[in-house]
Amino acid sequence: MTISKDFLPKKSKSLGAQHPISFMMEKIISIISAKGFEFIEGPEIETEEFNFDKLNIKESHPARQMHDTFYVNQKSQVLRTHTSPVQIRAMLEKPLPLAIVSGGKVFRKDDDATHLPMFHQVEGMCVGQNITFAHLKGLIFEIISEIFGDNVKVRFRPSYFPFTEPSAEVDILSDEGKWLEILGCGVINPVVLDNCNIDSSKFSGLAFGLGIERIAMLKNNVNDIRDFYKANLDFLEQFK
Amino acid sequence: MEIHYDHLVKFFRSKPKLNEISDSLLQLGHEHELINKTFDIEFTPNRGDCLSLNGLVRDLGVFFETADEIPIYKEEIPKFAFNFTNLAPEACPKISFLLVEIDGDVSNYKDYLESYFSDLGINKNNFFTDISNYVAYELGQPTHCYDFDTISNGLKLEFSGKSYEFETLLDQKISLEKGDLIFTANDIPVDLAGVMGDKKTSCKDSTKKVIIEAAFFEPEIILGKSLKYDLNSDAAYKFERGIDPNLQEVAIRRFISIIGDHVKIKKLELFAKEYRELEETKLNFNPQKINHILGDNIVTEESYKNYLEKLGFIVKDDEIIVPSYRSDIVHENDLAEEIARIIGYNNIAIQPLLLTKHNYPDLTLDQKIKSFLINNGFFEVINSQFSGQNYEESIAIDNPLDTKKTFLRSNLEESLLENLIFNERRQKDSIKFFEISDIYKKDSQISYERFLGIVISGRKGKNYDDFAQIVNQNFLMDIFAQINFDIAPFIKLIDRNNLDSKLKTPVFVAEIRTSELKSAFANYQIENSKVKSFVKTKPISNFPSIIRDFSFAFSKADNISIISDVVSNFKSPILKESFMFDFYENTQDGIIKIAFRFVFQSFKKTLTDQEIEIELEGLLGDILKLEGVSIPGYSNDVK
Repeated sequence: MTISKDFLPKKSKSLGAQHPISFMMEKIISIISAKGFEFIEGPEIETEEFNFDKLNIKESHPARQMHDTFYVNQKSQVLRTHTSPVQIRAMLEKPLPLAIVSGGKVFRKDDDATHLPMFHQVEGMCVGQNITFAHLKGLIFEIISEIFGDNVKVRFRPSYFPFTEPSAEVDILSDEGKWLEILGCGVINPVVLDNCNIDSSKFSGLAFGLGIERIAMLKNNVNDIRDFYKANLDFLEQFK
Repeated sequence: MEIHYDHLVKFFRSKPKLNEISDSLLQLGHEHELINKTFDIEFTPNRGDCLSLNGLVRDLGVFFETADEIPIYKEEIPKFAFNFTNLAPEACPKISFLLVEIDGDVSNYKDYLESYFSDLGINKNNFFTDISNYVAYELGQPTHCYDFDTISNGLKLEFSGKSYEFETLLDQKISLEKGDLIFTANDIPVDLAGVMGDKKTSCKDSTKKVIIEAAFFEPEIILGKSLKYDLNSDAAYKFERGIDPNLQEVAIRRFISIIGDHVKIKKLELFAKEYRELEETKLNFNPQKINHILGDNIVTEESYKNYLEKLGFIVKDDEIIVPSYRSDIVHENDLAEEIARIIGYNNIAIQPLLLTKHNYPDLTLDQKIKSFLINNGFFEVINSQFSGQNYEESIAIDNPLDTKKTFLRSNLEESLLENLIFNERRQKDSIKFFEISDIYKKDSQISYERFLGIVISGRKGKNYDDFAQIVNQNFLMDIFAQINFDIAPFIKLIDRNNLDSKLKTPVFVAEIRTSELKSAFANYQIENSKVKSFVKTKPISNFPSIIRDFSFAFSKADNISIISDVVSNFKSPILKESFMFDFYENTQDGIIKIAFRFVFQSFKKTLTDQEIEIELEGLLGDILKLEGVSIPGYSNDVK
């Protein structure tokens, strides 16, 4: 034991870092869970019935074409194209009223600076009596302000998803004055409720989904989505 | 779809300005870019009815009063005894064929037709094809023009019983497959229905006698065909999204009107047939239901009726008749969306969603594992599920995107070793990565389990105790001993010879089912509970790092902190990091040595030795000015 060692600078514990996508996903799930949504998960390999049919995505929908969806097991199953099949499982299995949040990997046949064949989504859904579009707006405003701050400007735009009606896309105003799309949402389409043996004349619901990479790119100042998946220590160390 | 402001605005009495139309489009859900005076609009796939000037005018008509209607030919048209056989009435329930013969040549187009081509930068083709394109733009009904002489014996519509070689009117040669819906003339395909006609029967500049086909095809029959054959077809785009099934005659009459604006018509005959009656959609008129869906007293009986009528719906007693062009409206939620679009989504009041709070577990097992490893210096990585490796249990992708990655990975080890090599090639000599992911396998059926994968190699750390130590099996075992888990059976030493890397430090991997860690983490509490904020990343240089190590010798222990301060205050645009990596004290002669590593990197270039020396000169000078401090083996003249 040397005396001079007492003069050495204190050795701080060498910490690693959580991956920014997993951090963002956990953060958003925790925000939504805190509002009363139960966290559940589902498989990444799904049946067409759960990934498409029950979600009112008809066989003729472009998303079901071979160029958009990865098929496995002699084309009998798909790599889920969204986390929405988890909603279906919840509606079929859980008693009403219900509120769930889920997250994980999803797959689409895309590959460029803003799209990857594998990316992450967080999705929330709630079904009960008298749930309305106004409730959806209230919830989305709360979630966005917790992620982006109370002062962020938010706008809703009409959009189209087969599983929600009315459907909306939600944008936030960036510091540069540009509207950026950050999530899709809507009132659950009554067809979807009926597909899950829920009486749509008595119950209604809302659903929303966020692309994690897109939000992480905004929050972490990342321009190329591929940077998240290179495992480059120079990148990962910045999240210590 | 591109629509020019000048073409649109003439339909509105109030002549709204560009920005007024742009704002209204956004409110209605028609996302667009405005390039000069052209709206490039991305209509959602359910709004096939908007894919034309007329369709968009109809939608914008809820905000702006519309002016004159599009002129059409209103005279009675003699019957055309065309020899047409429809063997696919389910796919094509309505079709019309117009025979037109013109007398004379067309030298110039009228302004409205000319401006369509000039304003949108579209190339002209021949007179009839140009009108066909314009009618599709104006009304949304695709039409196809055949040179009469090439199909005078008649046409047959059928699902092809075999494959055919086919040359499109745009000179693309394709092989039509069995089962495609085609028009044939003399048993030879002349048109891939709803997508594109062939070269031989298409119109030319010299064509004076044509047959113009206007049909309604069921969207699912056309869907995917243009993509499958790589054909750029505006007609297919419209049919896929659903056109108005009652539009054919209007389009034909508009076609005649435009021909008549340009040249004398010698002969005009019409064949029109409906093979299957298309049913009207009727919904209940129930304003309360709309308020119930939207969550506010947003409509009264009167205002609801008014909104619907503005959109072309007919409200009769307690019934709403949906216009034929709105095939997307099938239930009351669709009507609620229509009302919300007109009122504006942003004008619908917010209500708080009050849910019963449950005591769900605070932390998942995954979160505990992550926290534990991060606290022990590990970095989490996320890798693609796609792999090039095929094992017995691997699941093949039926339609892979990348021909080198045609399977789902059946382990985490291979991805983690790729991560290791990627970083070693970038001069990283301390690797501690982990990944948590579901792994899918196929035996008699597909199953999945969640795994934790770990890879370690190189230096234990960057501080003066850890820098000289190389991680090994014990390093991992000691870490997991903290939670009383014996990781030894899961650790595997990797043969460096199989890795494409120049480094020689041993590589260890471990792969464990997370379920096997459940009891070890049962009572684990997260150590570092501070709330993390979002990190704004900095760009990463692609140029190599240059390393400089310096050892400073002195006898006064106070110099340790003084030198450390000087180093930590050293600022340089090319300094990436610096840290003390060694400490040595000779108790016999009282000499203390501390060593620092400086890592330099530029974003613009590979740095030269001279550039780094210049950068270090000031720092080393400051340190060597200190009483009794020297750099062994270095010229101390700076002092």
